[in-house]
Amino acid sequence: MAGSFGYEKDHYDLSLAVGEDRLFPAVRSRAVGTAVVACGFSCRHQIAHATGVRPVHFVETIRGCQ
Amino acid sequence: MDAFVQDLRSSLSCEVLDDVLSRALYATDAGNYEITPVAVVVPRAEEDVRAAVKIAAAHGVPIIPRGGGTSLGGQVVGRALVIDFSKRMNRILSIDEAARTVRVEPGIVRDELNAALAPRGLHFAPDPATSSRANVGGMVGNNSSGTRSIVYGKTVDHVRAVRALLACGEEIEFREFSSGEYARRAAPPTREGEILFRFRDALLASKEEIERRFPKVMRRAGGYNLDEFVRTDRWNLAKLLAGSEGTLALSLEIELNLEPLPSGTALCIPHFAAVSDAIRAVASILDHRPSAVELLDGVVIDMARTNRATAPKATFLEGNPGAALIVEFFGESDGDAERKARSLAARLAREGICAVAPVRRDRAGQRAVWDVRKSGLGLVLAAGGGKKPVPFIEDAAIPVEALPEYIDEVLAVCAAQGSRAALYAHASVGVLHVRPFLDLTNRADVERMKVIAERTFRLVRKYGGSWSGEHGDGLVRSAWMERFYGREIYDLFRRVKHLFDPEGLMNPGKIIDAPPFDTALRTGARTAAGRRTDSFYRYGDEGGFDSAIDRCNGVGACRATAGGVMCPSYRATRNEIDSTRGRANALRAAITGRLGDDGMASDDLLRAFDLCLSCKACRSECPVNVDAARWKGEVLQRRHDRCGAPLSAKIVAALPRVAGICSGPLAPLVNAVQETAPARRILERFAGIDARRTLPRFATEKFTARYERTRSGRLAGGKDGRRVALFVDTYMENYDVAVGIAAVELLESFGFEVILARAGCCQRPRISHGFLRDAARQGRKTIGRLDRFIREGIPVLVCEPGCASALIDDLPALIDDGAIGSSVAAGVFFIDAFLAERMREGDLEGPFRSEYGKLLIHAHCHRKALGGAGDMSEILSLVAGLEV
Ligand SMILES: Cc1cc2nc3c(=O)[nH]c(=O)nc-3n(C[C@H](O)[C@H](O)[C@H](O)COP(=O)(O)OP(=O)(O)OC[C@H]3O[C@@H](n4cnc5c(N)ncnc54)[C@H](O)[C@@H]3O)c2cc1C
Ligand code: SF4
Ligand code: SF4
Repeated sequence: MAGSFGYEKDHYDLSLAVGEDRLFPAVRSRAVGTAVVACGFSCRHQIAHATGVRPVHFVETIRGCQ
Repeated sequence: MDAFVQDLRSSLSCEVLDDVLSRALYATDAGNYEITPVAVVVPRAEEDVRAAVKIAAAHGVPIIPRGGGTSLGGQVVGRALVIDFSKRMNRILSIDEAARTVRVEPGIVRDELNAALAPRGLHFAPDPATSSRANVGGMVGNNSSGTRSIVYGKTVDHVRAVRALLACGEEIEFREFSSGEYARRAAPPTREGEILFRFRDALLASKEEIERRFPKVMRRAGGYNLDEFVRTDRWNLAKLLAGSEGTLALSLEIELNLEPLPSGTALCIPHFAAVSDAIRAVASILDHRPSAVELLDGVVIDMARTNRATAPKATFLEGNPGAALIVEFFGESDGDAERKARSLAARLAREGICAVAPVRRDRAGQRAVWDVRKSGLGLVLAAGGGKKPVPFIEDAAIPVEALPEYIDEVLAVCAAQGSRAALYAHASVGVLHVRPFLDLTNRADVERMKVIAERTFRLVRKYGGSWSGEHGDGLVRSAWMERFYGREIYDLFRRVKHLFDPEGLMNPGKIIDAPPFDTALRTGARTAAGRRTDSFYRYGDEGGFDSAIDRCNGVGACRATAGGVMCPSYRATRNEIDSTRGRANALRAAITGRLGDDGMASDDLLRAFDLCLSCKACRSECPVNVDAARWKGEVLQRRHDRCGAPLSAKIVAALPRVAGICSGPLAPLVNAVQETAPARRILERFAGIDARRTLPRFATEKFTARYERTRSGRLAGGKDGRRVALFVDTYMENYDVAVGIAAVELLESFGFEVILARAGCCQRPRISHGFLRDAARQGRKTIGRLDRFIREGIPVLVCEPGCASALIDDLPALIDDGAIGSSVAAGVFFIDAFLAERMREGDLEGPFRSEYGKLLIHAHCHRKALGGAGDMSEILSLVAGLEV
């Protein structure tokens, strides 16, 4: 995880390990029908890479009344 | 020493560290001292420990066992072979639920042990503030205790047995014996027999003196625990090892007593006008048999209420108290505990001791109070500019009745030296940690420290207290032992030491035969170096780069193995070098010239920062808020200057520009090509992008192009002149156009007119890859463009958290014009933070809508680092029926 760090060759495994600590398991075991929200572009991309789930940005989840 | 290290290497299959950097990482704990060890061994199993001890003994090299290294007095600091149990000797060996006991290896973290025990309703009860990283071996070594010691006592009250390894290589399991069994065993020729025999002999001869000289406070942690043997005929020498600070033997296995988890808890928080009123009330509060009484002084209260992160939790404080006590009660149920809390509140009101005493029974409410106690302390410890709250008189335990006068006198002693002091901790047992603010790089302050210590020592004697109540002796208090306990007891300490360790190899200079307490101060190296290291960032709040590094005081919250997120690289590798503390110590070694002439650009330093994710978790979770991500930038830039930047870093730093070219019409082609095997090999080879990663795909139509095509002419005039600027970041522009469109729609749906702020790159890629000079230059332009909006009073909103943190936090400290930096920083917002703020002010009317039913939020690490990670949930909580 952590921005471009996770894309770096020498850091690929550490970045997956960090994700597996809590985030990826939480994403995989979420209740059915739950969308995952992540505001960072590389967070979304790396979550998708590791879990196959496509997260959305917070701004995509809510609208006002106007 | 080379022969010694060679012997270690050839006999041990585990890590043996003797390079300059590794030794610097093990030269300190959380106290004031620094001594470079000879070498460090990280054993995988007992065989490694046995072999290491044998070789050290053969070479006459002293030995220091080490756990989390969070001692406050230099207990694990010395010119010795350090044996670090924490990384690999940390297993639970067996649990006996019926007998309520557990057997563990010494390197297990206290909270990890308890997490494993919780499902059985049991816990290892002593709870030092460092429980998230303190090892059981270290807790036994220091005889640690904590907030609830009034119920649970100290670690010595929970140690059942220790299988110990002596420096001579002998192994003995110490446990409790009846007097008959003791007598049978206490006979030479075995080593155990000799120790049991002579110890009893020596102890009985001085029984009266022990009764006379050992202070009668519940919290006594100094010297050896001889008082455990005077009023009982069931002797357990494991209780002598408790608190022996590694000076007698190494623990290989430890057996502990377990306690049932409390079934109910509640808090009462009496408010007072002044600290002295609070302290005076403690004695009456104790009649109600609380499980904890902790002090929040006025300084902590003020800071906790003004700090953004703690303010939302500090709402249990009413009015403007000058002090408060946190009084906890255990009960059969939460209701039962609450009744006790209420009865205390009623009594305090009745007797006119205090009028305001809110009660909290719900879990969340209680947690908020404890969080404020914890982080409030961090805030205080971080305050003080160049002066730091130094631990040296902090550990006195005073009879509770005498506590008010003692505290008055100590504060007067500090004031007479021109020093203000932070005051916190365990009022229940008379252990209030007083830490005077001093700058030990300044020789005059070292002299002041000596004066304060001497006067306080006399006060402690006068009030019948203990010089050490909790943290132990280490290098900071051992030198006072003879004066404190008197000649006879001190001689007895010497004999005890000699019985176990006749060669004097185990952690020498602690408890007995200690050097003066102002030797080997960790600030000494910096005083000698006496220089200011140049930096790219300004570190204005911290008082310069050197002070920013010195802020790390080694408390080791970055070694916590659970809770929070700091520090992910340590959690993954469990190497000291990959912790935030390791990085701070590596930098300290560099700026004091220990890593060579150009230490700031050395391979060693690069190694320390290699696995730092620049996540900034340390920025918010470290009690003194060090920012290792900034430091990593400093190191990388110097490295680029010396060796030239690696191509991969240059490519990644240039990606925003590349992305600008690749997105749009070229995108289909680039997307197809970049996934081909040859392209991946090239990217891996030159850009260092791991070929296993899927790559983000470029957008075929840029956000701004799409915006203009679909929305131009639709500039919805904002409601009541509401206008905001949306920062167009690289990602929404070139990859994830949907985010940009959604942001515009969202803002318009709340009645804002949206202007696009095309201000250039936030510089995050350059900042992360150590191109600080370029980032400062280019970032100055970005900031200049944003300034135009901000000067017109238009807030700039950012969707990408990494960009926002660059604009709010990093660039302002990096560019040469600090003034414009801070003004822009104040006008740029994370989009969710902005909306949450407007919502709180009542500016956003509902109803809010969402097409989703349930959401799982992953907060970006930089979002958490700058506070307010809860903003998103707060906004989303207003959507009817949405589960977050
Ligand atoms: C901010 C802060 C708050 C603190 N609060 C408290 C508190 O509330 N209560 C409290 O009691 N303490 C407190 N401490 C002090 C310290 O954290 C505790 O004493 C802690 O239990 C030490 O654990 P550790 O694993 O870090 O031990 P270390 O510092 O690594 O070692 C402690 C001692 O044990 C010895 N030792 C370690 N392992 C072994 C072994 N295998 N065999 C033999 N000896 C061994 C060491 O040689 C050393 O003398 C605090 C410290 C800080 C920085
Ligand atoms: S970096 Fe922060 S948390 Fe870690 S040891 Fe230093 S002060 Fe403590
Ligand atoms: S930035 Fe993250 S990885 Fe680096 S030291 Fe801080 S917490 Fe650890």
